[in-house]
Formats: sequence, C-alpha cells, structure tokens
Amino acid sequence: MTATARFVLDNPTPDHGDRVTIAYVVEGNDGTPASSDDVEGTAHVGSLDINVTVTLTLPAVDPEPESFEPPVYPGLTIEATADPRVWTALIP
Amino acid sequence: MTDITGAVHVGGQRIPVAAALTLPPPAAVERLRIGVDWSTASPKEPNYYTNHTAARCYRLSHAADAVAAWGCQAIGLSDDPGISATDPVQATGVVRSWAEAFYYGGGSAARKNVRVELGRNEIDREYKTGTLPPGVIETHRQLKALCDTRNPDGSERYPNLFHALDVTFWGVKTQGAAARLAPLAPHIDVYAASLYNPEREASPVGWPAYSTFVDLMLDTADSYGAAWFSIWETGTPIDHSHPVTGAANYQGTTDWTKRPAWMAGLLRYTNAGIAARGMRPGIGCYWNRQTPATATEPAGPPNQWKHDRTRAPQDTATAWHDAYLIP
Repeated sequence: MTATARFVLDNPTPDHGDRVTIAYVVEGNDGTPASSDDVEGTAHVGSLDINVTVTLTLPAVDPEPESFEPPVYPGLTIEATADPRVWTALIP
Repeated sequence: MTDITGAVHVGGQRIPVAAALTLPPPAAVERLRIGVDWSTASPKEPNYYTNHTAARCYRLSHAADAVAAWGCQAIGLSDDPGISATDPVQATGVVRSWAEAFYYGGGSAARKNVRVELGRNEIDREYKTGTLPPGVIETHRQLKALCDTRNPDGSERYPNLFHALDVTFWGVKTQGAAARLAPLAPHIDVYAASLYNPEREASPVGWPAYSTFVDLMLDTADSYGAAWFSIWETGTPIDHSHPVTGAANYQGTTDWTKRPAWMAGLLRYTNAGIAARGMRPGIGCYWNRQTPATATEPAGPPNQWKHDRTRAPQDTATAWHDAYLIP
C-alpha cells in the first residue's frame, strides 16, 4: 500500500496567545508481516511421479523509516517537541 | 486563510503535507521596544542604527544621553555605582534626585514620556546563595515606593518610572534564583531577563527551541505577579563562528540566515508569551558586546553585530532594529 500523510491541528482557528499543536499522521507505511506458503514440485523416478512439498516462510518487511520536515507558516515560529511528528506554535 | 506546509519522508519518498490554518486578525498588540546597550567603551562596537526605540544604560546620567542621541522611548537602567544596594535611604535619595532632573529638570520636555525601568543588573549574580539581606529587600521596597510617588493632587509624580528585577536565565534554571529572589516580588513592576542563547558557547553555536528557556523566565515573572516583562540583555554569536574571534566558518559552513532569524524569532516568541500570560512588554535590548579576556577568564562569546554586518540587510543588526515592526 502506498503511504500517505496529513496534518492534524488541534485548533485550526486559534486566537492570539493560543498554542497550536501540529501533528503529522502517516498512513499505509505498515510493512508486511511474515508469510508462508508451500513450494510444490514433482520428482520422476522411472515411471513413478513423486509429488514434493515444502513450506517456505518469507521474512517480514519492516515499515519504511520516517522523518518529518519542520512545518512552515508565514509569521509563525514553529517549534519541535520530543515527538518528531509533533510541532507547536504560539500564536502572537 | 493560508496553508501550513511540511513534508514527510517515508523511505526514499517525500510526501508533501498541507493543512489550513486561520490566524486571528492582527491585534493592536504591544511589543517589546527594541534597542541595544548604550556603550561608553572605547572604541564602541558599531550599532549601525541611531534611532533605536530603547537602550540599556549602565549609569544614571547615560539615560538622558541616550534619549538625546537616539530619541529612545524606553530605557533599562542599572549599575550606577552611586546607588546603594542595601541602604534604602541613600538609594532613594540618589534616585529621587536623578528622577527629578530627568523628568522635571532642564531639557526634560523631551524625556517626560520616556519609560525608565530601574533595577540592579543580574541581581541573581550578586546573591547566589542563602537568604537575601534585609537591607536589599527594604531598598527594593522603598525604591518601588519612590516609583509610585504621588503628587499632592494624587497624580503620579513619575508615571513612566518603573522598578525592575533583572535576573539571568542561568540563575533561575540552575541556582534557585526564583525562590531566593521571591521576597523582592512584591516590590517590582518589571521582571527583566538576561535572555542569552543558552547554547551560545557551544561549538558550533546551538539554536535551541525558545520554549526551552524563555518559558521559564516568563513563568517566573508571571508567578511574581510582574505587570511587565523585558529582555534587558540577549545575544549570540553567528552560526559556526570562531568561539573567541567570531570569525565565520570556524567549524563547518556558516549559515548566515541563522542568527538574524533566530533573534527575530526570539522577539516574536517572547511577545506572544507575554501576551499569553496577561503581562505587558517592556524593552528588548541586544548586548552588542563581548566580555574581554582577563587573567583568569577567557573572552566571552562574540555576540557583536559586526560579525554578520557584511550581509546587510540580511544581518542581525537590521533584523533586531526592524523587529519592533514585525507583526
């Protein structure tokens, strides 16, 4: 699945002196869990056909690493928080 | 309405992100009146502008000089050796004489509306441990009372004279200055901060989030019940500067945009924080100097504006000077 991203603002119409929280939300970057399936084949021994089966487990694929650019808005000082997805700004 | 924009990197993919954010209409908010230290050093560091709205003065007599030279509207005044820290009668006598001359003496017509914030410079560095001497508290009480002097008709004698407490961020953060100086809280109008970049001595210079140091001083001022908040001193070297000479590109490549933007942002953040706490803005003064080396101490950080002046008008002096105009 293709990853998508969006912002979530806790207050999209703030007043002077309010602090706005801007959070990135990423969806679809889930990776793939480990999966297994059978590999089948047939061996021919003389006139005898021998079906052969073995189970193969493919490894899980981790989600892609994520990083976040500082959000930009004219006239606002937007600051990082301890969570790299979350930013804040005080409305002057 | 304008979008707030950003981007997420997922693996090798860059995903642009945008969302609508509607700011309130511009308010007629007060802002810190911007200025710089009134230096009498020889030679003076160049200030590049002579119409600052504020000045930081270190002698009583310099206040009138700054008004005459720059047309200042506001002054942070401290350090005059003629004012006792512990003798309230002596201190109020000296300040009253000065205030009479400043507001009512010869040439006072140009000064009667000038705001003066009077206090001791970085008082937390004078009293680093223990309890405050009673004389200090009493001197503060009487100087505040002097600022509030009434004429016989009930009007204020010095309506633009305010009593200030000036404290360093470092003292509040690491040395318990907020609790130690709390007995002075009832005797001040203005909480003034020495609000230097806390990472100015790192190499390369760091650019910390404002909330990591400004909020502590604003919250302390608010807890003291201060009506006003000022920045009496601030400063920082340029990005990737030599820690002593200020020369560019000492470690890595200097980003010339860092210092002007960070200093202007500091003012915006502080103005917003003052308003959010219901206080009023006083002055914001840059310390355009560098502590010289002594026999026992190395030179201080090279804060001076000259280190990026070749980039004018994208320099710190211009960003600071124009900051009063920034909404």
